[in-house]
Amino acid sequence: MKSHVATVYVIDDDDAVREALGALLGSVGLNHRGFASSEAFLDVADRHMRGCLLLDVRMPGMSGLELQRKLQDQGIAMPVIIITGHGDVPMAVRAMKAGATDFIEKPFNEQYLLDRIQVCLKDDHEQWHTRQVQNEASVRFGNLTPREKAVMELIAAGNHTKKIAAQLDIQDRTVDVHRFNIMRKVGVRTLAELLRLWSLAHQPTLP
Amino acid sequence: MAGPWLTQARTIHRVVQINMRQIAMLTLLLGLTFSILLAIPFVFYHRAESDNNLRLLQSEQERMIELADGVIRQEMASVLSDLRYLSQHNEIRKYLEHANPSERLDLAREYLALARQKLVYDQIRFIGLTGMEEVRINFNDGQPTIVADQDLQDKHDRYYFEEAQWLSPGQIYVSPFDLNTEHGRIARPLKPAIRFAIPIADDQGLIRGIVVLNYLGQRLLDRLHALEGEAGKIRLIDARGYWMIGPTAEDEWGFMFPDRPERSLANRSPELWQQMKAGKSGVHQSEASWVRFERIFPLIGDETTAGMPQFAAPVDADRYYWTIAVELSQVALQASNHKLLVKLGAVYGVLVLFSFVAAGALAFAINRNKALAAVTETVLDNLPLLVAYVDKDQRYRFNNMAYERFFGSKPMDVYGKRLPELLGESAYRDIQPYVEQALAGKPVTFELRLNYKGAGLRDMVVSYMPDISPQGEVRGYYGIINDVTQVKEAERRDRQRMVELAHVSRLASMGEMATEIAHEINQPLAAIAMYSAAGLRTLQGEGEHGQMKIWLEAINKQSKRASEIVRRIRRFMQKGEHQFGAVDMNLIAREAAEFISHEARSHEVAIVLELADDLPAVQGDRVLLEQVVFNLLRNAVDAVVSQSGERRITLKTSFDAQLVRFEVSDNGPGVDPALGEHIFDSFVTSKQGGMGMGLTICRSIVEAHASTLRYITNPGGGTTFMFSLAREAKG
Repeated sequence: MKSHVATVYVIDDDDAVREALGALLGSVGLNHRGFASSEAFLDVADRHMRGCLLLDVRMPGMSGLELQRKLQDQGIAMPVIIITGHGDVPMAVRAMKAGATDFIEKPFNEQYLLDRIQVCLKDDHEQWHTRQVQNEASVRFGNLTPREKAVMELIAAGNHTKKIAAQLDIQDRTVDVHRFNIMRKVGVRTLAELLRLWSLAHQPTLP
Repeated sequence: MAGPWLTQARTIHRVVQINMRQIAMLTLLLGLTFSILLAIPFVFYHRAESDNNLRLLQSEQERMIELADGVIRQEMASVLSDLRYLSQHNEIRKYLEHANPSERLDLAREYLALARQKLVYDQIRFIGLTGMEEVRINFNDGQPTIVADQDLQDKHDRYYFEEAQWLSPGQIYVSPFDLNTEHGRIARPLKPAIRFAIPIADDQGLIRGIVVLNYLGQRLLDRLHALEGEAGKIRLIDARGYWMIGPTAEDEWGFMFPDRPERSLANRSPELWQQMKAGKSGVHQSEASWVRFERIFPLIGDETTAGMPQFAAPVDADRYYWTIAVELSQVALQASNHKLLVKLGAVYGVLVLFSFVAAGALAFAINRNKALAAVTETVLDNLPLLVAYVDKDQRYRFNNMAYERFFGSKPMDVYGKRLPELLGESAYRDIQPYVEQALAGKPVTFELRLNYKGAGLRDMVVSYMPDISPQGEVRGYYGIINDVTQVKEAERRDRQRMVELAHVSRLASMGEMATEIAHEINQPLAAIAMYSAAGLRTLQGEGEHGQMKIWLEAINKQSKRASEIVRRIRRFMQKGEHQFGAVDMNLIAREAAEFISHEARSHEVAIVLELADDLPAVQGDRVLLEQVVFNLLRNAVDAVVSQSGERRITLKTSFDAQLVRFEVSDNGPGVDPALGEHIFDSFVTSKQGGMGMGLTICRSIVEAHASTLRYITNPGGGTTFMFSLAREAKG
């Protein structure tokens, strides 16, 4: 697994605006990288990237909205800040609906922009942490035998031992043994912990 | 337009109404006048010809008399010559000497020979002193014979014997012209005769007898009758006034017939007779006839015989005379004149016929000319044009009513005036070179704004056509002048309105584009804000200062960028001076593309420039042409954004020898076929919130540049708008 430093990816076809953003971000010590088009960014994008996207909504070629969709398809889940010009409110709304974190209207207050970026980076960091845990859980749950998986699903559905035994047509004791093994493999000590990890690993919204 | 007008002009005679009644009346009048005028020379000619005819006849009469005189003298001279011969020849001498029968027979044969040869003698005789015929030859109807002895007669009682026996030798007796009598009676058929007798003397000088020649007068009369002709009838009258040739056979020889002694000229025409007795020759005119007469002396020889020895001359020859007359009856004279009259009448009749035909043709032509003139005048006077004829002294010789109305002058006031008088000095100065050109024989057309004395400042289109005589001399010129002041005024107003509308439309475009413009200006402003913020933060913190110079430079560049956008907008909004001049369509295409680039980019529209190298400049108004291109470009953007997929607009320029062509094509959905050419109408729009003025203004502007704005549907979809402008003239 390749490790990434949190970076602000600036995607704007206007060189001046892109470079100015870079200067501003650099002046506050943020890692940043500029792209002149959506396509250029897509070329280098991967799901392990960390940080956030500053995306101009109007660009020749692939538009900002399209890029957003593509990124989602590829499981790249960095927060996206849409930059709009005056009067592009309908487009900004569409961007937000498509999953953008925020939008900023030009000309913008640079402090506000930096604040928003900080929030996004923090969100991204949290998400990344969660994702790490999730990934861990997924890996652990992945080690279960098919029988254990079936028992686990029934536990997660809130069934008691007797009911599970009845459904799977096995002894109550066997259910307990399976549960014990599951908890050992996943590395938790309490049932509550097991259920929290399960729900994390099976959050459908997470990539 | 020109074609049908020309044919119409050639058929103008079809509208001319010909008045047959007037033509008939005029024909009658002219024909009668011609006929009367023609009659005058004919009357004179006829009179002259009649006089001439009379003179001719008179001289013919003179000639006839002369000829008759000649005939008579010839005959008489011949007879006298024979007679002289008969008195001298050998046979008579021998007979007189011997007086025997053989000598007598010789004499008779001699006489017979003469009679046979001459055939004019009824009798040739030798009569002895006793009065007894001794030798006699009878004419015997052309077969002369010697009369037998027993048939010889005693003629001693005859007047010719009586007269002749007393003559001395060398004298000749000639009887009056009368009729022959046989045995005391007038011989039938009538035998006019003259008896010539000469005494015959023997060698001793004794008279022994007489020779008598009976001359057959009929031959003389026939010869005289043969002379008759148109000039009249021959009359032969004796000294007592009796006719030997008379009006009728009964009138002749009146003195021979006891029952008709009154048949004489003296009796019938006493006046004429008195005149004949009074003078030797003359002319007598009466109601019935015209008579020329002359007294002749047949026995007095003319010059040809005058020199001959007169050994035997007629007795009393100077008292022996006849009168020859030529009588032309008035009836014959009139008949002669009548023939002339008929001839002249026929010629006159033909001429009258011709003159009526000519009068008819003339009347038709006059009527048609009058009608044509009326049509021409009506047309000329009602034309909305000033029409005039100016002679080479620059004086008006003709003008139509429009001319008078235009200059506010009274009818007939223009005629004869000189150009500067009517037009005023200012206008005259301006047209003078053209007038001189026209008077030099060159047709000229020009358009000028003229300041007329009466009519003020007017825009005029003027054509001068020189009037050149067949000898090549310029007599003047026709001027056809069109007052186009109102047209020009309307054109100026239209143009003004178009320019204003164009400006309003530009302002409206700006309104529509406000968002885009704001966005575009925001770009450099945003960049500036961020650079400056970055700078400030760096200055406050402890960061690197190395970037500062680059940032300031970037700020400087972006502020220029912003002001360039503002400048461009202001230029587009300006009202500006609208002037025609050289315009580079490539430059216009680039600027328009640049102007709309932001909008195009944000709508993901690609603008492709296909501009011809070395494109020649066109003649046009830069501001207005920019607007056309910009409007077309914006329309194209609006057309393509409605579709997904590729959005492309192409601006293309090209040129040939005369024109520069400009095209804006898009790959949009194309023009709604239901709209068709209506897309150029005002207030027709397919855009929400559109005014529908854009294409209307574009078309007006292009038409003001003498071109047409058209569009075609591209084969691959979309629309191309195009127009062509004239290349600017070199120099």
